[in-house]
Amino acid sequence: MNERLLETAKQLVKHHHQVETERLCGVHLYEDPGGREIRLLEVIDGSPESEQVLPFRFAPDPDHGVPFPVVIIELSPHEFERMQRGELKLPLGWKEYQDPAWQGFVAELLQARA
Amino acid sequence: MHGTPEQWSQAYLGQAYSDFTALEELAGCEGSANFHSQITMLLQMAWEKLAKAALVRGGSWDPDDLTHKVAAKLASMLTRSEAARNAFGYRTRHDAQRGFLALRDDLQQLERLCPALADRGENAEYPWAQRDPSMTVPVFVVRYPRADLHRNFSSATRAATRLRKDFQVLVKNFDRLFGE
Repeated sequence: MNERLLETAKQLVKHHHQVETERLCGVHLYEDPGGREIRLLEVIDGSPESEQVLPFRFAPDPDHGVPFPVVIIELSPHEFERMQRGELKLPLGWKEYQDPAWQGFVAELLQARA
Repeated sequence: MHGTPEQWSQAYLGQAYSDFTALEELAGCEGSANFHSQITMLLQMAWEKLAKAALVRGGSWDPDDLTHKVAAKLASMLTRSEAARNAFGYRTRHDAQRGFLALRDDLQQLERLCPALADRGENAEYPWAQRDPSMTVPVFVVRYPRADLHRNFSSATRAATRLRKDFQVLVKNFDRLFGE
């Protein structure tokens, strides 16, 4: 993954965690083959449930250190389980970024919630 | 999908604004007390289309996927957007979180008044049968929105005021939040 994209994703997730320490219980990063946007799936306690995955794309926000568009899918813990069972589908082409360093970063961040 | 995401987004935005303008006209007219259910319906429709305008703009959602549960999800996500915090005029992140979660809760209530989600109960559009709580045997009374809508978003309640104000803020800042 593009270094700048990854670093921005890290800063963004840190910010999201600061804002939603109590509600944020999972973060997953997905690769954009074009290297143009950040793709996040966030598991949020209390997220309103929908019948489908809803990927909202937010515009770049360079004033706040985010020079890329950010696509966020927010799921409740129950919706996340449904997704893992295949009942809810991610957009076509979404492939999770499985890098151990990234996963370690997220695990450490979320431990601060526990 | 026929048409580009931008075309669909503009169409949804245009129709959302049309629904909102209609409800404002109704709410401001003489006899508006007779139109609680219609105003509530139009408010739900306006918010649903506004959220879909944002969703379809991203290019990953098919407008043929019919769902009414969109707006509350969007509100839940706005808590984490600094751009949204500025657009809505919240001075602190704490204020923004409180404000957007209150918006989320109001929108969830509003979504439940859509007939498709009301589970044959109270809704803003059609009559429904409700069990009479004063009877020990099951007796049902037919209710209808004009007379019996308990939750309505048409009078100047805090929820109604917030929903109408926040709708206008989101429309005004739409491109800034969801554009390229």
